[in-house]
Amino acid sequence: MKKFLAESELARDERFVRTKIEDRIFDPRGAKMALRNTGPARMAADRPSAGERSRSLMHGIFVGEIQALEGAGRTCYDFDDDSAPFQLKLDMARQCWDESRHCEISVKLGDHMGTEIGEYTESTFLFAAACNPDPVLRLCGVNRALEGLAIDVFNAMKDFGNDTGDPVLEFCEDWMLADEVTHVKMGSDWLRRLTDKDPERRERALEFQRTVDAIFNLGGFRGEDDENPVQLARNFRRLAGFTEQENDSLAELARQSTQEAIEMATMATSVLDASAQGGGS
Amino acid sequence: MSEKTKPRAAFSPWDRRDLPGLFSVEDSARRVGNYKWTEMRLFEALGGWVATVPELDVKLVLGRHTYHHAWHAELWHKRLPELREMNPDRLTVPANDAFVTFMDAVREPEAAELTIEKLVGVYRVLIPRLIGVYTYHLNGTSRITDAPTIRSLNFALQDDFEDWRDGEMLIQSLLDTPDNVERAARRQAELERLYIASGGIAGPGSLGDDSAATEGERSVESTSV
Amino acid sequence: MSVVVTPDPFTLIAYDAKEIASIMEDVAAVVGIPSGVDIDVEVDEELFAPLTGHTTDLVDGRVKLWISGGNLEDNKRPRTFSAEQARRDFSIMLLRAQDRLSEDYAGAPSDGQMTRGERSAWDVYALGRARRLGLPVRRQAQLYEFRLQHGFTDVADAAFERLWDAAHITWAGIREICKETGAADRDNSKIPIDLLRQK
Repeated sequence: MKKFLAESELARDERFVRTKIEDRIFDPRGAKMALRNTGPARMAADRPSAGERSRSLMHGIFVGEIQALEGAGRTCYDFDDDSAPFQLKLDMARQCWDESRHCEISVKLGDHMGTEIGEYTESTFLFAAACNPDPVLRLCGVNRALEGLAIDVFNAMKDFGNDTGDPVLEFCEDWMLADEVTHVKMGSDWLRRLTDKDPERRERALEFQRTVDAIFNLGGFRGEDDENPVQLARNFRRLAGFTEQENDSLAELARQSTQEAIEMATMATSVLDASAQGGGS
Repeated sequence: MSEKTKPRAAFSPWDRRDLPGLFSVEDSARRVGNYKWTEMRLFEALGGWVATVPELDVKLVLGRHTYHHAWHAELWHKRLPELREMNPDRLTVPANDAFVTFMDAVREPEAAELTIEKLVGVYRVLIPRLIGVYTYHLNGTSRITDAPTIRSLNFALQDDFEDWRDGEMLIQSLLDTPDNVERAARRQAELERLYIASGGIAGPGSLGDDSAATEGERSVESTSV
Repeated sequence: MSVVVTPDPFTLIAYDAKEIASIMEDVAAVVGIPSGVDIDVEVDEELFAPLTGHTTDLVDGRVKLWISGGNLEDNKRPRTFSAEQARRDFSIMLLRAQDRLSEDYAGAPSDGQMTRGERSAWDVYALGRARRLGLPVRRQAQLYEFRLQHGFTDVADAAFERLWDAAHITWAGIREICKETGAADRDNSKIPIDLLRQK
């Protein structure tokens, strides 16, 4: 078995349909939809399409967990004993178990919400963005960026469960949150230990993490403004070892992502409208 | 004036544990080093395979089992320095080159269509062999002097029996055609041949059937100890 | 019966107004919409999943339907029309249209005016009938939608079962159920129930 698997080689059964994130970005409807009032971003029972939105997000969490499991598993295999210490690989193996459990929980939550496996398409950008051939960068990508996103999303789902009186959703998200805080801590601890005498490598790793964080903001999906469906879970992030400075920086990055998304949507809509009036395609 | 306590034997009547064991400290350390090396290679492969198997239930089981074998490797890692400060890194070695060949063959399948080959290698060859060698060690070592190793062996065996069952049931559910049965049998035979060529996880004498081996004597071909 | 679909042609996604009209006519026949009733269908092609939803109203004797383009899009093949999804959602819409045509629902407000609890209860009643007509429906997903508006309680679940199995419930019956589950007391949202329909 080779080392370093490409995202295109992630194995799936026939239920899973893969789409590229660019397909969504370049969908002409996206620009129009971005400028419409589709209700508050925050998840709530009175939000338009509340059920469908939460089911679709839950499925997104499920496929994200599969990719997190695959990422942790590959880290066990891809690095030899010289590039990744034994204890680091032990932590990654522990993470495999946790992510496997999260997949199981997500499947049960999907059953609870009436969602079928593979009902929604999957984008593998999480695996692609986070998995890097350098173990330190990969830790930052998976354990700090990807798991940091998981903290924010699970917190949003937990709040949604609490607000709607859904005891199953709240219970499950709370348990998964506990694990994710541990995973981020693992990443923070190992980053510190592996780059203790190499500040340049640490800075490269943090820069990679910032790049991945920006991708994971998904043009306004996450942030601290009302337009963002998922809010930064600052308290949990603090528990997980993110500094206030890191959280502030991420919030600012998120604001920029949201603004860029709005500008792109406005521009795209103008182009579409002009094209429609001109009668051309 | 207080009453004197009636003396009792140090070993309760029902405690039949005795001193003698098959293994010296060095024997135990050598084996434990072999176990650790094997468990490490195993957990790495299981983790690496998660992304390569399309079957969702297999993916999740492999994710869980990855941790079991990583934890076993950690148990052995911790035991090694306790065996008279044996250097864990120096002792974490395969029994011999032939065993490396065997493990490489177990870990080799990659393509998404090879789930049967991956699982048979682990759950019909390697894990049953691990159960064998752990059981031999458990039964043969001194129950008093080597109690910590026995404790770890029991933990590892508990996982291994359950993992064996999980894996075997997955294999059974995948062997749904005569061709698949053939594949599984071929794969098992191929790996068993490699395994016996190595003598086993702890080399010749893994299950104590090496006629040249007596306590403290080894004629195995091994990498450095 | 005439079925008019807008937009025609679609410009943002390759849906076919004629195909949509044809499916609508089929479903109308299965459901039993009287042949003299005309149907207008507005598909909002700007919307995609998960922004789904539909409304059913009666205006001057014409059935007025609005549906998000996301409802008709194949979840597994983005930007592709799904006849199966269309058939399922049209069944629910037309069963509700049939209800609106009856005296039992004369007092029902328009879809933009009713509460979320009332709407979700009515949907369950429609889905149960759709199932008995042999159409593919998703019970657990509908239960989840219902629970979001009526609560995750035994009372709400029992009410769901009654709605699901009901051969006939009036508008008054729907409102009674909302009182029973407490949904009648919950919906004080400032967000219009038909916000997606408003451009």
